[in-house]
Amino acid sequence: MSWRAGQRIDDAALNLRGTQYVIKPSSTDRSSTVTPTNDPDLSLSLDPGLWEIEIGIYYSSATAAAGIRTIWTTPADASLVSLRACSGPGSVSTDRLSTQARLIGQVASGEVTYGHGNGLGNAAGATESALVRIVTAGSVALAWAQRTSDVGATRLHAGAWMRAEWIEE
Amino acid sequence: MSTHAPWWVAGDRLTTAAPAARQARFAYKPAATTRTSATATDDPDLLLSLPAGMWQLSARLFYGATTGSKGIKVGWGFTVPPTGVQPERIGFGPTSTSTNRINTNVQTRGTAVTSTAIASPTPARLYGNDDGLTSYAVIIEDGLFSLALETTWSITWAEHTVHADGTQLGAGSWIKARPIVLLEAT
Repeated sequence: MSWRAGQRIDDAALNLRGTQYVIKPSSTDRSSTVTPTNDPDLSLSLDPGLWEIEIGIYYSSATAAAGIRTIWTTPADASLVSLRACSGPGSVSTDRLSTQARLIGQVASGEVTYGHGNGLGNAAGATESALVRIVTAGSVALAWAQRTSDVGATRLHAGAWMRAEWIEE
Repeated sequence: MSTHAPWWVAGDRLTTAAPAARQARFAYKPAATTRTSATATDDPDLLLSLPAGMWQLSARLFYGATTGSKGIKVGWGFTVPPTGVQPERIGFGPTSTSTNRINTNVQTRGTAVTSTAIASPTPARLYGNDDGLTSYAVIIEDGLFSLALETTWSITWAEHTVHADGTQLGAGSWIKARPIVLLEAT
């Protein structure tokens, strides 16, 4: 975050130090798939450096089988300095009101599954956060699919968000 | 001088230090640490020196233990006792008897912060995990505290239960301090 004496205060240097956000403008539904693909909205283009990234995941599924699974997509030469700290309903949770929460540390490509079963529209919440080292500028995205393939859809709700805060060069 | 950073006021000098003082501060573990004691001491990496002011403090801790050590004991250390905007820190993590990171045994609890020295964090909070030293479970802790003087904040920790197997705090565990109000000139 630090500034150097004599450093030019231009738009790029100032913007790098501002927190970056993206918020899903509308919901996305997916069905009959367990292969995570990038969400069309939850992606941020980041400059080189160390970043704290956090994602707020609001999701629902039509059936108890569907649920959701998530991974992170990063540039090829990027690395996670920390694990993803993933908190949310357990994989077999069927009700967002149940006390089935858990916390798991997972690598970027490690799939984390969260359960649901209240039907589309009753969103459960999960959060994931990690420190990520970006070497070559590129995008970090949330990729997701269903926990178990089901013709009943899994929905990532409008308002789900992603935040990135620059820590250091 | 600004007494309400991160806001700027007319007359503030734009030095290299002034904008940095308004940004969040981070520390993270470059390598894992393993301990074989149940007496909590400050982590060698997870500590930050903070100027006087109000701070939002946050931690993400990745830890592993065995059936012998049972988990981790976590406290917050302050070289100067904080004054309470929020008298307790909030701990969100596996219960003290949880045995596996996949368990849905989660506690969300407030724990008083009354420590007066880094080496004596009291009280501490116990989180369970006996799935192995590198099969990490996760703890999220947060707090909002006012510091009257420059203070070093640290994560202090030890084994849940003393055992030769040890408890490990993983590389990449990190802490963040965001200034809400700064009381010193920048």
